[in-house]
Amino acid sequence: MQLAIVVSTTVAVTIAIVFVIGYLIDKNTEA
Amino acid sequence: MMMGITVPHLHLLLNHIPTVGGAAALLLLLVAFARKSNDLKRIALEATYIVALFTFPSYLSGVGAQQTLLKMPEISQAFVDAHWNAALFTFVLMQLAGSLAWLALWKYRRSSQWPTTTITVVVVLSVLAFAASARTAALGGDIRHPEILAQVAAPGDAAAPADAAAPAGEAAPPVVAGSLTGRGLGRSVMDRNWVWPASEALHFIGLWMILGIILIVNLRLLGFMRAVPYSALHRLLPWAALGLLINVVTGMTFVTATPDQYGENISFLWKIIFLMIAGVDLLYITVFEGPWHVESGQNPPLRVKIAGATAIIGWVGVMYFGRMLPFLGNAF
Repeated sequence: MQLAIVVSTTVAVTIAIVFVIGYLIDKNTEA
Repeated sequence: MMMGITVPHLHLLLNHIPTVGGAAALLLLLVAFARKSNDLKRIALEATYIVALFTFPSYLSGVGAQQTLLKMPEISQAFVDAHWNAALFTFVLMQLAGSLAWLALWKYRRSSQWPTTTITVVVVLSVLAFAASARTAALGGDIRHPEILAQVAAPGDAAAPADAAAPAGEAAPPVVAGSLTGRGLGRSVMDRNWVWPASEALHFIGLWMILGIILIVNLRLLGFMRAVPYSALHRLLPWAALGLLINVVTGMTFVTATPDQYGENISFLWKIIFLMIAGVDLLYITVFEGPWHVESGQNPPLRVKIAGATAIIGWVGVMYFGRMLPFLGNAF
């Protein structure tokens, strides 16, 4: 159970960081 | 072994790419700035990307060579580890420089303006990577140089095997096992039961980010979805690059934790060959004129279609041989 929580949190946080970076790249690009 | 070429052979050949290639790319970058030439800047950034890409087989053939060398009693693990740690550091710097070089090229393709901050960071990283690769090369040379040892060791000198690996005038470096070393990182991955499953989950998420975008973009290059101009789909490429970044980090986690599963694995060799094909193709579809000028309603020319097909085949190859690691190769 503890393993599942740690793995899910790590995956979720990483994906969130990646999508923020992707959003920032996209925002700084012309429409 | 393939056609008489062993993994250590391959490493001795490929290790020149980050050292000599990295120096050449850095020199080009500096000349491009001095001459304020946009064409030279583009070529220099392309060279930085290509060198970073081919640092993969250079580094990974070292992982394979290590497996062979450590079976030899006369080879000092301390020297191998010192070289490995320096190589890992160089690899990270090279990949950061290569990723940002790609981003700068992608932005320039879209706006014809250079992102100054990004390029400055690429230059700084390239200088650091050059210094790191020179140090890595020197430490690699220390692993085994019988011609130097022959001149130093007096006839009849009863040196211990471990000492025999030490180069002239140098004592063997201490075995460093801190958390920022290859062996230390590998151990900390294996000691924590969540790192491998989390990396595995992220590796698959990275995979669908790459394949999803690559499929859409390259189907257009093959002539599908003709209403959409290529420049519109080109905007999606950074998402594929981010997926690739996730997979480089997680993939290197696996290799660092269990180098013996990858170093001499035939399926892994093919995975890296397909990765090189896909990586070169990614540069082509990011910056070259052919794909960029595929307008709305246009059927792409043959060379562009070939590039589109190559990308899809390349990434499917990477995925296939990754999945086949335990079946065609010796992993797990």
